[in-house]
Amino acid sequence: MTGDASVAMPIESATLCSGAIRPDEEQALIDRCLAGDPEAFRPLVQRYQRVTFSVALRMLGSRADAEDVAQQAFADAYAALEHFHGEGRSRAFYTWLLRIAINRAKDMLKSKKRTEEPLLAEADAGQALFAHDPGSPEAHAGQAEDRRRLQAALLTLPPKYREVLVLKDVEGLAYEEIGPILRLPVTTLKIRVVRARARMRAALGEVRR
Amino acid sequence: MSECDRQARQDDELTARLAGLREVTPPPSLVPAVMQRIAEPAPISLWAWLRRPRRFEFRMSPLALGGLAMAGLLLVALLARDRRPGPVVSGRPNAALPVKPAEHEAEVVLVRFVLVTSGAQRVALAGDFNGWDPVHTLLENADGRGTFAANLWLPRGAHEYMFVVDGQWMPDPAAPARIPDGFGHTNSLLRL
Repeated sequence: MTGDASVAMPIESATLCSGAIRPDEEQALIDRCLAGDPEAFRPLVQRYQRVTFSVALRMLGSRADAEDVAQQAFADAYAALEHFHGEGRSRAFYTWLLRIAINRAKDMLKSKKRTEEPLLAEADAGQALFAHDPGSPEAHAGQAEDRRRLQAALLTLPPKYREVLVLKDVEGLAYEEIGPILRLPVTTLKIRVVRARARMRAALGEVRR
Repeated sequence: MSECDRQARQDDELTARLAGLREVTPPPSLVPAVMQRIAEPAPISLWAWLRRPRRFEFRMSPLALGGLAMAGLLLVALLARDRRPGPVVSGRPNAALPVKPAEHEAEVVLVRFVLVTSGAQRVALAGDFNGWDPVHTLLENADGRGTFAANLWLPRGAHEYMFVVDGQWMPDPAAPARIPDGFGHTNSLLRL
């Protein structure tokens, strides 16, 4: 499909900087989906696959579970597109999708009762193959070890602290964006982030011992 | 360095390290798997299936349509016939008389049936006017001492009837006339 390819290419290249997206372009794709063209959903999946997968991975600690959750989040979003009302707001679809992904990840945490079962070795397995920075092998090894520690510490936090750290510090969302995702007021979020960071530091201390 | 500054610096360091977790490469299978899932028709719930509008097409020849119309008219006529007033019952002597059917005013007569029988618990009236129903046209024990009575509006003409006393059929001893029932017994006969 020639038309879709010309749309998909620049979007795919923007997967690591999903902030720079025109709301009207997204809305046009959503309108096409609602008109019965599921292929119009592909650019949206390509655009947001990294952040959806990343949030699920950091919440769950398992790549397999994260892929399941990301798939489910996209499928749920597609099925509920008629209820999405972006109204031209910047990153409206992005935050709406993240809310679905976070909820699905928490559903999986509940169903598996895995909050205290960190899968340390799995979360960042395979990342070295895709790392883009041209550092030395020693630097790569050090970064990989630090990511492993951070992920392990994250998984020791209760989900309510884990989710704010993932959205605020890992993904760098603004409090005004996190509020609608977690349905919490900004003041509550700020307090929760402070407590989550304190717990995280404590957990990192424990992990390092 | 104050405690507040120290904590802020620790927060900055932690945030910078956590931002490193952002660099994740999703599995190549993610996009194809999602596109395959959304291409599959979603399972329809029973409620959604029930709510889904449907279009029905009904075809009928003019001949069949005419027959259906005739059948409808016949049904209406039968129902109207069945709604003709049947006997209206009231047994108490001091009670208001049963309401006279509004239709066919000239064709109905109010008749009071009375049977005096001591010791009976249940007395019913069965006749050609109620399809010989031995159960539903009950006489009331009007004085509480065995005088059973019922007032009925009956169409003009001859009527055969019997009393049913505690399940036993018996003719009206005070009937103006009797007529053989064809089975070796007699029915009471009333001409209006």
